[in-house]
Amino acid sequence: MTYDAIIIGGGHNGLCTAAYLAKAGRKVLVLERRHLVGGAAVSEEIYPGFTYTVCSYVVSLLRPWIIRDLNLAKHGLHVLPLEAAFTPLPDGRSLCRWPDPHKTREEIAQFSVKDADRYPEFGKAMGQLARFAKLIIDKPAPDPATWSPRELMDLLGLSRKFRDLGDDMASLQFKLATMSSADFLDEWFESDVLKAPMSVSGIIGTMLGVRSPGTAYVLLHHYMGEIDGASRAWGFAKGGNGAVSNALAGAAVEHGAEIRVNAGVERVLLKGGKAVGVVLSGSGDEIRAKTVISTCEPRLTFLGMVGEENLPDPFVAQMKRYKLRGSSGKVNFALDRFPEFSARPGDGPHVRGDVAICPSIDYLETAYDEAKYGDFSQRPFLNLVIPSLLDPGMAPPGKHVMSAFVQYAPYHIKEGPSHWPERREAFGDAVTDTIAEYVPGFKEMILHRQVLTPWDLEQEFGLTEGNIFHGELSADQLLFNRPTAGWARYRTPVKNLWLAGSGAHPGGGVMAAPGALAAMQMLKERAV
Amino acid sequence: MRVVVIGAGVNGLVAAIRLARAGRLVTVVERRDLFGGIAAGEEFHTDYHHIGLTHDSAEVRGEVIKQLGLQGGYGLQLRPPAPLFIAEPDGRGLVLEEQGSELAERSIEAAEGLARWELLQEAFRPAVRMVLREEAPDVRQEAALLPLLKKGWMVRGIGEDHLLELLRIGPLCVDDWMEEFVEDPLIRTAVLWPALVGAWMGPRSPYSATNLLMDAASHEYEIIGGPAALVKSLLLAAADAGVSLRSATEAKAIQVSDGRATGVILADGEVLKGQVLVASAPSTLLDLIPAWKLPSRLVRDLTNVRVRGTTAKLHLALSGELQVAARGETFERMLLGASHPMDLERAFDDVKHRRLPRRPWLDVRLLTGDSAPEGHSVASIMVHCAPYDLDGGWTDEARAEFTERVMAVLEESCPGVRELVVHSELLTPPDLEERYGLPGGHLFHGERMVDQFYVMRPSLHLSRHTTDLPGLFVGSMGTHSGGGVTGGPGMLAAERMIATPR
Repeated sequence: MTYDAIIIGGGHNGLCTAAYLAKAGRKVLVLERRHLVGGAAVSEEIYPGFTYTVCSYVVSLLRPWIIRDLNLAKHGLHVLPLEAAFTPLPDGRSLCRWPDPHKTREEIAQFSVKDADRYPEFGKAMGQLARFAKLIIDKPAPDPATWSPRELMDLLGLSRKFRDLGDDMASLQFKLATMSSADFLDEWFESDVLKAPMSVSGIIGTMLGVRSPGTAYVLLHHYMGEIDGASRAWGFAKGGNGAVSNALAGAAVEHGAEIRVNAGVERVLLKGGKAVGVVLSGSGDEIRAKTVISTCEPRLTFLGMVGEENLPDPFVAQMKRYKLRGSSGKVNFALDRFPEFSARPGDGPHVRGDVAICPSIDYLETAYDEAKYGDFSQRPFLNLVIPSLLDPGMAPPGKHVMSAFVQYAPYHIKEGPSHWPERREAFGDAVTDTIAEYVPGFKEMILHRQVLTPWDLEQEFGLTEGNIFHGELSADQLLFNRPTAGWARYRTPVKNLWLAGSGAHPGGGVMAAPGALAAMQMLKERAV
Repeated sequence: MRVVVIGAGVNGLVAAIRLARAGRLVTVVERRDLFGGIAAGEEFHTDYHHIGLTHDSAEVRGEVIKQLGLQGGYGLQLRPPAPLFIAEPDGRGLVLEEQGSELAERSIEAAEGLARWELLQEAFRPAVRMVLREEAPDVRQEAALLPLLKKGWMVRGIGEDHLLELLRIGPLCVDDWMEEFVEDPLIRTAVLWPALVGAWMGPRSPYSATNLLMDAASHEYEIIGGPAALVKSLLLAAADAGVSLRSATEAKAIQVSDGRATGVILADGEVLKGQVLVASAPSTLLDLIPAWKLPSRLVRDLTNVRVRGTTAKLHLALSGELQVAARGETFERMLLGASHPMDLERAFDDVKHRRLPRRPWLDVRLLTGDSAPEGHSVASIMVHCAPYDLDGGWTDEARAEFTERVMAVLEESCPGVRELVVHSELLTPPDLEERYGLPGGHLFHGERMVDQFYVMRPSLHLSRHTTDLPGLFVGSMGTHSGGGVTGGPGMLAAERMIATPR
């Protein structure tokens, strides 16, 4: 029996591709190495009674058209808005940004009246640019080297739209695309307390600092987020991010896709230079299909599953220099009681969003410097979410789970990545100690702690070098360069092998766009 | 038709000559009592001269030299760049020169890698040169879409693969880019450091590769006698063209009437009538015209130009020559204090955190001949990295400590240097601001970074050397195609003034 398509990897992108292809009537098989689907979007009960949203932890850029196309709400996806962005400071002051502009204004005015005045203006400008950026992430990548008249028209259309932004906006867009997030914000604001939490969106998952050029661009993401079509920054999936994957799996299965867990792929089966199926690891079983779609990270896909000998040399060279360089870790806590922030006590709305530990630009930059020389940050940037406040089902009554995204934790520590297990607890302690500076008595309330270093992310979740985005989201690896020049349209140098994970355009994050766009491209080209 | 040029730096002089030759009556006013701006040679101690604040002259645009005929009647002489010695701890270091064999002796692989890298530069050179030679396109005008498109096609002329490669390389950090060719950190350092001069960047900063691309494409020859010799030659040409040069003359304000710039008001109240070319830092416009007379976006753009100085200058008058102990030789150009790209990165970390560099890296020029008495010499040292906004300020203690750290690095390669020092002059970034009128103490009137380059230098509205006020033009290294000692912006500004209907 043959399938139309085998999808390697049951992460959110793989499931999304499967759902789209199955919906179009194709016979699809999804193969997942772990015992559950979801990849880096999973919820697991690691400690009895407590559900961790193990890796990714918020929903921001999940494309609304995918939610509609696949009817994900019917399959159990329920996104709860995260409506506050809270930044406690070690000196007891704090800043909280709210959906209500008046409340936010008052908060910012504590630190700078000038900034409070400019904040709405900034949001307006960003919103305008975000609309332009969406033109790019909801379509296959533009190809600047194209000679096809249709694509040239598309390019021209895109440059027209760019020009129609007006020169002030065009100039801003260019700055946004190239500047560092700290420099970019410096042009608008004076208060470090405001700039620091705004700037961090530019560094998440990258081996760069807020003062590194090119990081400003991701500021837009904050203004691009949509939940159910409404512009909103962040949301939290009821049940954790596993719920996103489960909904996608539900949609895929409903349309007839087959999903197998505990089915890791050893390599892609080739015949006459074409992909004809896969070989499973362990059993060595072969499964045949007309096409193979990998949603694994590109370097792993090509150098690990296809093999250098089956690829053209220049492509191998490109894959070897593909930058992964994971820079972040994750720590999940089961807590005996509510973690109270001394800067603003209580479990009010301010902690029902995300809590950013980043008191200043210098703090962030120092954290980066440590990582640059091969160590994890002693005082890292943390993005904390307390899911049990939003979804009480995630912890027993009165108890809580806390998710801590941690940066920086460089994969390449100076001892070498394989030495991460020896440093795991020290890393976890740095995170605990940092939180304890803001949450008195934090250490005493910890019932269980799950520490995921970049090494663990690689070993357990197949995120090569611990990179949460399947490859740095730097300008040299985006758009027509993702994963590499000439192969940004989901095709690969191996016939019948396609790429549909975060290593494909438009890249990482729980967007599901690469998975959906790849499926659409394949259907359009009648490749499956 | 009269023109007043503010600032007699290289760009002011180039523009003045070009305009005078086109029949304009040109007056150049210079605040200092000598001409040349950052290119001016100075006697910093009796009988000891340096050849300019930035001692490099390899970026001077060939077309400017040619168009002004500086090589013929005005005494300018070119030569291939001098070999560069780069030191390494516990080693002989390396001499990098055009036809050098040392590289291959050190490592065949590195020599081959570097050859591959240079080959790639050859392919990019026409495209990069075109960008540096021509006026920036006017992205605001519908009609300009055509030249833009044409430019696009010409860039495409370099071939699809190279176009994609150029787009990939641009955003890279220069260390990653070099690592694709050369493993040896010493050689990488020797090649990539110029990308960081005048940039608020370390070798790990994205987009620093763009700076190196620009450097590699523009360097070819240097001027014998350095920037100071260029100034000498320009002054001869200016005199010939009938340019009136006034030193120790400070422009106080630009006269604006009926929304037009009509002249320059000097500190003593004298008014010089004419069109105005600002060849000092673009942001000086804000000192010369009250903000309320300027469009708000112009004020905003000029305020936002990033000018964070990262370089100090140390001039040493020496009673002998600097000898590299590991070689028993002297070298005209040396790079000291960095043998690994991460050394450069650490120095940048210090600037970022507003502290003295733990270990500065030095771009040294050893000057002999006319620069110093017989048997003596001058060390002209660009010291990286030095923050403009040093925490605690540039106190006497900070200056002394800084100089000490520079001397320690010098001493490593050239032991005994301290005994040779007859006199030293330290110019910190705030000193540079004060002496040369460089805002932020920044060498180039604007950090080298892709968003302050080409159509964005200094901003989308000023990159074509015109301003919102008729009769007012800008043409310093803070505008396209600066910075550095190039003469490019001055020439482009002059051409624009000539082409602009009055």
